[in-house]
Amino acid sequence: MKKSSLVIAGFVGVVMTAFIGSSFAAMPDDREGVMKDVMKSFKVLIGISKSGQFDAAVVNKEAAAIIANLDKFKDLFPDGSQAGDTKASPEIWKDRAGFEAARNNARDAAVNLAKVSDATAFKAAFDAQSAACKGCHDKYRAN
Amino acid sequence: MTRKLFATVAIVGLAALGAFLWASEPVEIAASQLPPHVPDKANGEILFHAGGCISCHKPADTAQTDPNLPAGGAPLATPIGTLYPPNITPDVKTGIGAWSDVEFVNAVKRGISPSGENYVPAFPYTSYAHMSVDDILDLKAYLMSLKPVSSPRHDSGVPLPWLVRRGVGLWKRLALPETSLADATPLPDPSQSAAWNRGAYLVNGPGHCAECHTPRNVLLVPEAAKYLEGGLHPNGRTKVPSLHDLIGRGLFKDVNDLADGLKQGEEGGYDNMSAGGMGEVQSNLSKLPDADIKAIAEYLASLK
Repeated sequence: MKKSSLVIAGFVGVVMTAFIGSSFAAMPDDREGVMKDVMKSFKVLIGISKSGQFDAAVVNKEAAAIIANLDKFKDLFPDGSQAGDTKASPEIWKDRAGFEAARNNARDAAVNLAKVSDATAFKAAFDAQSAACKGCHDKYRAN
Repeated sequence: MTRKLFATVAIVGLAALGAFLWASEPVEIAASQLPPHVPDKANGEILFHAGGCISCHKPADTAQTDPNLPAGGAPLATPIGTLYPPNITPDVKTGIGAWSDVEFVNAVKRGISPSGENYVPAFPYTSYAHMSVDDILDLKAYLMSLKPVSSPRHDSGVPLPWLVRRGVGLWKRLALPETSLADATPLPDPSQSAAWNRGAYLVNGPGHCAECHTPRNVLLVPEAAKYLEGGLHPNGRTKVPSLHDLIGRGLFKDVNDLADGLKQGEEGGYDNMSAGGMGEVQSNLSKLPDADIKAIAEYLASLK
């Protein structure tokens, strides 16, 4: 292979990695950080809900961010991580199936939210999203 | 010498048991003390939500039973063991269908069962004691209008239940000193608005906010001097926040914001309204009439 092609391929590879990596770089690793990130998206969506100014691009973008965060969230509760200063309720480790179901529920709602294209669909999807978030917190958030 | 010692110990022991039984005797309200009353089911439903009854009395198996019916049986973890709140639907055999008015009033206002036993105060009758008899009878009328569900009583996970229940009688002398009907229901404060008084009644009585939001002493009696100043969660680990100076501390912008927080909860962007069990409380409060939610906010906002 020609040397210049390799250099170009390498350069493109670095740029692509930097581009993709930077969209995740802002994401927190710890579970409280992930939740706070979701809250940022939620506040944007609430703003849209209360103002009535529906913007499909914004809604879909925030929903995608929520999905990515909930995917991260899945693996942040290993056995043994229930001790210490955490807002996670011990119920999570006692009732894994219930916690997973609640997380899936919230993720499904976000998948739905990412598809909405009009204000009516948005209202229903947003109500379902906030109910799903609350449903998990009601049982599994300690404080 | 040994016979004398034995006799002395026996006499002292019997005397101590007698004193214990006398001091822990349940103090019941008599049927003759109840005023005549025409029940108001609609008011009863408001009190059902304000009282948060479904949160403890929810059915154990929500796949089989409507989750809005208080059929009981779901486990409730407490510092003394796991309790199973009973069925309060009007089923005659396993619920309260056969209960008289005075039996229901004694249960809710005094924490005494129809068979004369003390209820473990996980049932928050130290707060419900502040409800009026009229309201308690309206609540009974509402419960009696619900669909009866057969759900037998589940044995509690509390060791030596007879001794614990009788011992609660002693605890009640410290925590529930009212021995006449009128004492426990506070009179309205004429220097405050009607809304403030309504809020005070809802918070102190059916709302039973103090049960979590007031610290308890080593005997688990709520400390009246630190009313609603926050305390240890029933889970024994986490803290329950103080309700004083909510606006001054910047937690809410004003009374309307606090009312919105109670009504909308986390779904309205109010973070922390679904933590530590508050989510279910907020869900129940959201079902109250707007004027009552505003009244609660007005009362709480006045706590400095």
